Amino acid sequence: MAGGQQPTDRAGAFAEPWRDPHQTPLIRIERLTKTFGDFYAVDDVSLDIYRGEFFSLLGGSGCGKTTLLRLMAGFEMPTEGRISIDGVDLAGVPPHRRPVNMMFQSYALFPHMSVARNVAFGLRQEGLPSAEIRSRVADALELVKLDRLAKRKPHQLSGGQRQRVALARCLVKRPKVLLLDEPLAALDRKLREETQFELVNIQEQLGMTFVIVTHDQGEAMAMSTRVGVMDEGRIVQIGTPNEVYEYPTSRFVAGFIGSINMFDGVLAESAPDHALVEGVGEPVRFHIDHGIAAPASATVTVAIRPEKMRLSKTLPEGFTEDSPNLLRGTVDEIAYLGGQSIYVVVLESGRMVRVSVPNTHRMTELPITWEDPVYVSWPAFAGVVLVD
Amino acid sequence: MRRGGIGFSGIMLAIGLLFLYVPIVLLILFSFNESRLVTVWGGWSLRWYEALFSDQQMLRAAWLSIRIAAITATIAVVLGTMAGVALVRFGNFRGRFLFTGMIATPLVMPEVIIGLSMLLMFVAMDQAIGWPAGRGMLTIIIAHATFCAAYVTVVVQSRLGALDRSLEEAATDLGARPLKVFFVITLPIIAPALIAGWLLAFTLSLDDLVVASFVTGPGATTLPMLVFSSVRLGVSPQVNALGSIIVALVSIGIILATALMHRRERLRQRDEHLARAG
Repeated sequence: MAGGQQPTDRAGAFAEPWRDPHQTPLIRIERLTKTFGDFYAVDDVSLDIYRGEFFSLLGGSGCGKTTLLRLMAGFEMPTEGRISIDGVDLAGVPPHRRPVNMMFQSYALFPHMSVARNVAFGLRQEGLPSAEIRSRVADALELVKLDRLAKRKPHQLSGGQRQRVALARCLVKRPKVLLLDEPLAALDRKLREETQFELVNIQEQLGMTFVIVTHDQGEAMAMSTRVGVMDEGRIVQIGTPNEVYEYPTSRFVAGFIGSINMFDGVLAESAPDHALVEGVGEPVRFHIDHGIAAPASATVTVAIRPEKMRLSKTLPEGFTEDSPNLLRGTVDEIAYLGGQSIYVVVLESGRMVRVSVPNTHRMTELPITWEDPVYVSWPAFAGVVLVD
Repeated sequence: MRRGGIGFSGIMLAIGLLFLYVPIVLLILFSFNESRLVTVWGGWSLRWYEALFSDQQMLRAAWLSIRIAAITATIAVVLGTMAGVALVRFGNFRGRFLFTGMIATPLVMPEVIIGLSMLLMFVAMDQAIGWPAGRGMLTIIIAHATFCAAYVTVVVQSRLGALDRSLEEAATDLGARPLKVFFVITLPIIAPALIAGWLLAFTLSLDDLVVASFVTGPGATTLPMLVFSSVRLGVSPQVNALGSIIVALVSIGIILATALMHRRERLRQRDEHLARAG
């Protein structure tokens, strides 16, 4: 869960080319649509991806993320729109001539070839001299730490080793863009976390552009420079992991990434520097510390992350009984997760609110326990107002 | 399993095995019979084997059958593979329904009908375009390849259907042209199915009496045709000898294949063990 894991925001350490209007994107996708019969697998997607990015397409199954990847690789032809890489329009360019390589979810290693021949396959197609092929294959295998196993056949390898062979087989071609379809899905959890960092290291080391498809938000947050969240064939939000987590623009993104508490409300006061939302079905007012681009009395949703809420038995400091950003309820459930505990609080109206509390002290007894009446409060910056 | 006592299932097994193997054992036994009479035992002898190997007609027929079977199997594998690829990979092309029907027809059509319709076609073609001129080995090969290809198609189709599509996509993605992908990736992976299909076609052709009888001409007598006609004139113990040789060849083949499979399985298990170990 992204709420638990600290999302590492790699974008901060890098230049952010997507903010620079003078940068030209490496991959430019314009109004791309792909239909299968009546079904819109990819629906009017426009997207720019820049050189050196680690871009994640994130979404549930059937959201079109894999189709979008296959369109870039050339295995599907777009119904409408176009894709260009490095300024070259890819329409009509068959997959074997595209400057991209794809790593398949099943790895798709050739079962009748050794590891070394699998990796060499792509270079042989380019007709390179065999001495160069040999040295590049050796380099690639060393990069993924498989040089010892070059003579093995795929069925003689473990799942993690197969994944590395698949990666080496793509990397050795030095493509402009590497497409990865759920590269970590088949690995067990511990190996997956190790491999995440390794993938990022390799990508930074080679300065290659990675586009990865994943359904695992934790994975996308941990590795990416930017995330494109997809739903029903459309990209609903693009941003750094930090942006999509802290500033979701729709209920879907807010709910899909991490866990979040959502409240219905009506915009009661809208000023340039703050806003006030009156809760609907809940005796609460939300004081937001920034302006909202919506007219007064518009219906909105206020979303608040569990870790931004605070739990206390007494009225928190600076609050009165009728302050905004305050709720009353009783503790219904507690999930102890080690580093933090998730409290589920039942409000008077019967709805549940999740509050996560970091376990900063070492204690065996929880200061707040089941059936305790509690106050839930949050600062004015915590609320995200969604107008959909 | 129950120890001690044979029990009902044991008896049924014994009866079943006897039913299957007694005729074959008798065939082999009587092939070593000294007597000229097929059903009367006259002591041990190899004279029918000698007679068989000095029977030029029989040897010629056997050689013809083997040649026909080998050529037929090769043609059938090529055609059947192409048909299988078309059915699995080309999606819903126009005429697919008709094509599927044409593939399935030889599998269910009585041999007599296949033989007769082939004969009619060859006669008509001979009159219309002069090819194939007359009937003989060529017409038998064409007829056999036609129905054997249907069997090969089924074998190849099922193997191709189970093949992970992304293997071919990966090869394309790595820069191989479609035709190269087929020969370097697809074919080697489905090779076992091609070998199985070839052997199946070889056996079907070697075994066929009915279709061959219809489409053959003077001078092309296959082994089944010769055996059948000689048996009609009275069973010669020579046929027993021939039968025994075929049984021996088949048994050796099966034993070799089983041993090979066992070895492969052992290797595979060792490999998997190796993979798990690191």
